[in-house]
Amino acid sequence: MTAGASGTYAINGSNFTLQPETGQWLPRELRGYDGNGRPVYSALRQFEIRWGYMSAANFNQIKTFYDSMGATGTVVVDLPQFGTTPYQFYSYSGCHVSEPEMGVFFNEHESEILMVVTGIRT
Amino acid sequence: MTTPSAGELALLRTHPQLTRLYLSIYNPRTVFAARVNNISIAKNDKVIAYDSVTTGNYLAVQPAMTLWVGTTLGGREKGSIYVYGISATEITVGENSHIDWDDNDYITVVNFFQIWPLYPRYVQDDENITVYKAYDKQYTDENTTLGEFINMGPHHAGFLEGGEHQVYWSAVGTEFLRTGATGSYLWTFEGATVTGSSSITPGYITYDAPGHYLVKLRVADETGHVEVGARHVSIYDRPEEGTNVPILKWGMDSFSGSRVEGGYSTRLWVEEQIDDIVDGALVVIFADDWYGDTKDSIGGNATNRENTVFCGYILDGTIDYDYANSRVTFDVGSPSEVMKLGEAFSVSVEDSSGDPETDANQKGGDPWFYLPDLTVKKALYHYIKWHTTVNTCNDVQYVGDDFAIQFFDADRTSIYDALNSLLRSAVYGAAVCDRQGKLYFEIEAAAKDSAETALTTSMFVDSHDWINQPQISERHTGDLSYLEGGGVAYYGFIGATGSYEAFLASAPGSTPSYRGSVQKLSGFALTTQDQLNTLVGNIFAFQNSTYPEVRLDIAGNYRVFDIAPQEIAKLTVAPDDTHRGITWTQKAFVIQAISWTYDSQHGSFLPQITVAEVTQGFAGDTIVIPAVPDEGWGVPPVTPVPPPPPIVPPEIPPIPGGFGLHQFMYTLPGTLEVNTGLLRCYNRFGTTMYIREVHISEGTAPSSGGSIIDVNINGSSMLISPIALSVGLNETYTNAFAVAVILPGQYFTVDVDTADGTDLAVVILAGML
Repeated sequence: MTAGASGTYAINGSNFTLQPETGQWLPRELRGYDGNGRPVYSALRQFEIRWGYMSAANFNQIKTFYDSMGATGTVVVDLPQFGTTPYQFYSYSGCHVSEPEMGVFFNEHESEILMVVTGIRT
Repeated sequence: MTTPSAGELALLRTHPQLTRLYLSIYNPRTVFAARVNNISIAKNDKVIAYDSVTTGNYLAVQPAMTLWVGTTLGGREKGSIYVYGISATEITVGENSHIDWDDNDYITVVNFFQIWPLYPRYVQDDENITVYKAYDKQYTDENTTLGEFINMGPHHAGFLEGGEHQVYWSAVGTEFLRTGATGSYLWTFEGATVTGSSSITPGYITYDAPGHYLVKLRVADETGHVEVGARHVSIYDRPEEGTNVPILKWGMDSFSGSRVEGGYSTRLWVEEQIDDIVDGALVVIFADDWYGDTKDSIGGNATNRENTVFCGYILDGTIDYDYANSRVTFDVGSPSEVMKLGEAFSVSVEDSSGDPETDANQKGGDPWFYLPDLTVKKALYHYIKWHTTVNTCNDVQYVGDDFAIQFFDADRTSIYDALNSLLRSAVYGAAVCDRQGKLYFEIEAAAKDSAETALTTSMFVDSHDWINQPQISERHTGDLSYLEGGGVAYYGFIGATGSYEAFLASAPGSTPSYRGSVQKLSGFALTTQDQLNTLVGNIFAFQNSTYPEVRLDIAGNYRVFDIAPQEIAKLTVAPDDTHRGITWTQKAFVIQAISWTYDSQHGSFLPQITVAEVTQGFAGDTIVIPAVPDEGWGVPPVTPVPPPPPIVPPEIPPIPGGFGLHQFMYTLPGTLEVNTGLLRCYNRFGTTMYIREVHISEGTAPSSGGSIIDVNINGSSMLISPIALSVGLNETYTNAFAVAVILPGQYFTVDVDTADGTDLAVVILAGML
């Protein structure tokens, strides 16, 4: 894990042409509670990135990010670092991204775009 | 199962944990490729002439390598077989009938060693039989020099890190079967930065290029006997760092193993175009592990191979293609699962007086049948060495006490069943593969006296180590009411013959418990009656244990747990941990089964372990075996046979008379006089007449001697002895047919020969047949 060079959302060192409108760390999966009642979580976190509206060119870029994972299996993602201050970006390696989802077309643009970054070790 | 250090135990309990598993399928390199050069080649051929060599040199071909036969270059659709030997013009393979050889078939030898049964050959000449192991290995001194259980570590797969990858190799654990044997070691490392070593422990060997490689170990003892082991190594680039990567698009549907099954099996899927997914292919699953922020791998029985999670082979006939989803699904099993797929011929070995050649001459058969100082361990070695290639492909270890036996007979069955059956019957043991593929021959904890201390304690498990509720099966009534066990203590040769003693024992004692079933176990290899009494007592206790099954969902990636070798896990359960309020403080259990769940999305690899309570029984009772009778058991004792009940003759119906049965009555009142002629009766029926009965009685007391009456036919006496009458006596003369024949026209009379009484009455019954 290294400090992100871009200071913005990026995958494999390439900034998103259109920066996400929202980003959110998702709760880790709870494996269960051990015999002492302590919650046992999985080690990996997930991060959701959302856009409300983007052009076909911008969507093509994030689709390319997803496709790029096929060659190596993992990507390096620059995200707001989890649980630190001040607010800053870090490069998380060994991550996966889900195939971007989108909603209906509106005015030749995609709407409600969602990409989930998985397998993030914080 | 391995015992973690304090530091490892602390790591195991550190959260969160991350495990990434990687799938390697060994892609064997072609060592030699050529074409069949025999226009008259036919099915069953074993010596294959070849030409048109396209790859390699025949000198690179080694025995037990795999040979594919196909109709195209590199093809294998006509079958595969192991190599036995090769010359500049011919390659000799194992006996086969499953390959339909044709001239110009493509033959491809790959550097891949797999588990095969080896078939013996028996040649009979009049009354002599000659045995050839592995087709043409005639006995010389193999049963006296013996060999080794090779231990050189499991197959391996890993990533280049900074341009290199290190694999730890050691032959520590290799066991010489002959007492006092010593050996030398010769390693060859294909693809490594060093080519070989003569050390028992070469240590870390460096690989600096991706590829699939072969490691061989030759162990030679001082007699020159050589045992060979072969392992396979696959080296990859990390997915982010190169193109020679392992299979990336894959998943694990299930992964579990148990002692009952003898090993592990896993169901995997792959969504890549992989030509290597074929029956029998070697699969290695390896891992990157993090405990908290510490990257480390813990567990596994092989030294310094903690990141090797599983070694196995794609099981024959389990590959399914899902064309709709471009997915291939297949089963991978431990070597023990492969051993279940191959059947070997029956094998018989007998203890030898010392020289198998002499025994063969004296007792008949072949020297291969006689093995000096035969024990369970040596019998297992003999089987896997001369009837399989297991000793080449797997680490093998016999754990626990060994026992002398006089005979070893394996049926024609699978390799696994032959080995496991001997262990089960002789020592109440089992053949079980660990996760990394090492084959253990073990005596079950149930049969171990003081098992809690005899077995190594691996883990102290408490509430830190599980999630959810422990699932505890509790038994208050035993499943078994009575166990009878029997076997033979074989003392070896004393004089010219083997000496032995048979023992029987029962548990819990002479009286069965009042619930449960009855079980009989026989065939134990024993030392004393007391040992048998203890053994049956312990087995009885284990089968009736209070806690036969406890299942725990383990909170982390505890690869220290394994199904073999058996080690103790001590459980501590506080009253609050279960609704039943069970309290255990370091109570001993032994692992029976493990089921792993891999969640690749969240990076978790968690086991559920099933353990059984370790018990200690009390000794059973001796069952006295009746003494051998003087005539020996060969002649069954003669039990007097009671005479059959008297045969009751069927009632004979009255003789039917064509004219009926006639009764003739005469009375002579008053005092008798001699020669008094009574009624004369003629036969006028026109057919022979017979007198059946004559009844004569006299009314008053004779004054002296009584009267004598006779019945005459045509004047001749019918009665053999005339009837002498006493006072009031009624005389009956029956069955007169034979003599009392009255032919047609003849007559009979009743005459008084001596007269001394009064009131004579005579009744004669006569008739026709």
